Amino acid sequence: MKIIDRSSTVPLYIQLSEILIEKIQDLDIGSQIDTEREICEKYNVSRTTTRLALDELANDEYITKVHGKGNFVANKYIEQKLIEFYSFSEEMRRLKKTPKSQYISVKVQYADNKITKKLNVTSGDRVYCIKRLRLGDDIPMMIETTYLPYNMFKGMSQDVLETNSLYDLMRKDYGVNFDYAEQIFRPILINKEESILLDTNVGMPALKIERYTYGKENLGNRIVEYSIGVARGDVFKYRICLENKNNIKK
Amino acid sequence: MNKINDSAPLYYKLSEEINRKIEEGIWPVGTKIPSERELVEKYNLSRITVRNAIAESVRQGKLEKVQGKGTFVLNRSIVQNLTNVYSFSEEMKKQGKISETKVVCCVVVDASEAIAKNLNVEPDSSVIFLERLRYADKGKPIIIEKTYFPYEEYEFLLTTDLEKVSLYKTLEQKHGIKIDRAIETFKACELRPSECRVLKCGNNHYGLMIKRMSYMNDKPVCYSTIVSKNDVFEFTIELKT
Repeated sequence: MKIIDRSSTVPLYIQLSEILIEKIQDLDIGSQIDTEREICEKYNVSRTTTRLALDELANDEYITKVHGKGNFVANKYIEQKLIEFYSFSEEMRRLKKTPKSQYISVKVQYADNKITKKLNVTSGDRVYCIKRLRLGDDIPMMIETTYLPYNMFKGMSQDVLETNSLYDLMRKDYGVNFDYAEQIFRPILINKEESILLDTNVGMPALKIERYTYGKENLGNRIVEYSIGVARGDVFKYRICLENKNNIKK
Repeated sequence: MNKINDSAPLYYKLSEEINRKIEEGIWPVGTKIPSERELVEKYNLSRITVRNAIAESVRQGKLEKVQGKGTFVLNRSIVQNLTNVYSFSEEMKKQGKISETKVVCCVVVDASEAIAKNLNVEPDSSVIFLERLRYADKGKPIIIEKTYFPYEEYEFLLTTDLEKVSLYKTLEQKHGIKIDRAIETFKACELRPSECRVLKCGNNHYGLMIKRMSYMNDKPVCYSTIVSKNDVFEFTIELKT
């Protein structure tokens, strides 16, 4: 077990952060760690040293700071690579987690102005509005609201959806093929309704993800799906590889 | 093993060997490479050497670690194709979001473990630390960018005026350093109190945290962390199979 060595040249806050990291290994994810004051007293260090150490822990993703509440042992992040077209369920399985969808509502409604534009349908057309909570290993990870053009997917019902993967249904039952999407990520704060569904605190950072899925050429590359996801900020991070292909050496 | 560079460290030689196996198709693209233990036994090297060799090949973009599954030979043909690895400030300028850059400091610091690992230098060795503040119009600070460079070859930055010229333009045009590959991770984050103060956050303490590692010819050029305030910055990505 490490202890603070004041004669060492290693800065106090670094030593302290290493001690705290050691302690965290024995704690459950989501549990609260000692408060700043408790840490100051326990290790006999200044408030500044404590703050710097906690900053290090947050930066290295060992803890999540919740404003006004305290510091909590962080989830290990799920790193989603952004290259190929992916589905939430496939990604969960790739990470050896069991995906699950809890259906909140499945409705057919008239597209409002905003959805008309996003889905690129005709004003007055009907759309499916499917709202789901996506879970991995029974932990709520993301809320997803999916809009589909009604005309393309007649006959979908909650019963059918609950026993099948949506993308499987779209491809196999309706012959709608797709492998290209545009995704827009934007940081947001979780609101009251979202916090209840995601079982987390109001005001936690999250990512709002808009996805436009495009059908293949035989469908005129039209948009076949528009979805809005709210992904927990303490669970998801995303990775992109960028390369200038003009000077690839072989 | 490759005898061309006998004075190279063991881990580097092993990494070269790994790369050779990939190039010659002995380890096909997309397949999982032998485990650390198997490599330790096969090449009769220490675990640390094997680990460092793998890290080197990952750095060179030949291998990728898939969380929970293992290390795979990277399929380079599916890496995001961009004709130019973008300069963040050029992107933001294009979107009309950045109007000014202030240099907070450009100094020499000791590399922490994490920075040393990313830049492939010795821990505690000297690195260049450049901190910049980006402003939207009306003098509103929106982004804090911290960039680390290896000291060797980038010492000139200490005497370069980086407020008037784009960093990447300077690197390219004056020093022939052109970034050709970058790996970025991003996530939503809660802003630290110090960041809140600098970015004048008010009550909303959230933003986007981007970490970017840049390379030229597989050599680390710099490592950056970029923190942007609230939803001032959004990412658009294409996904294609």
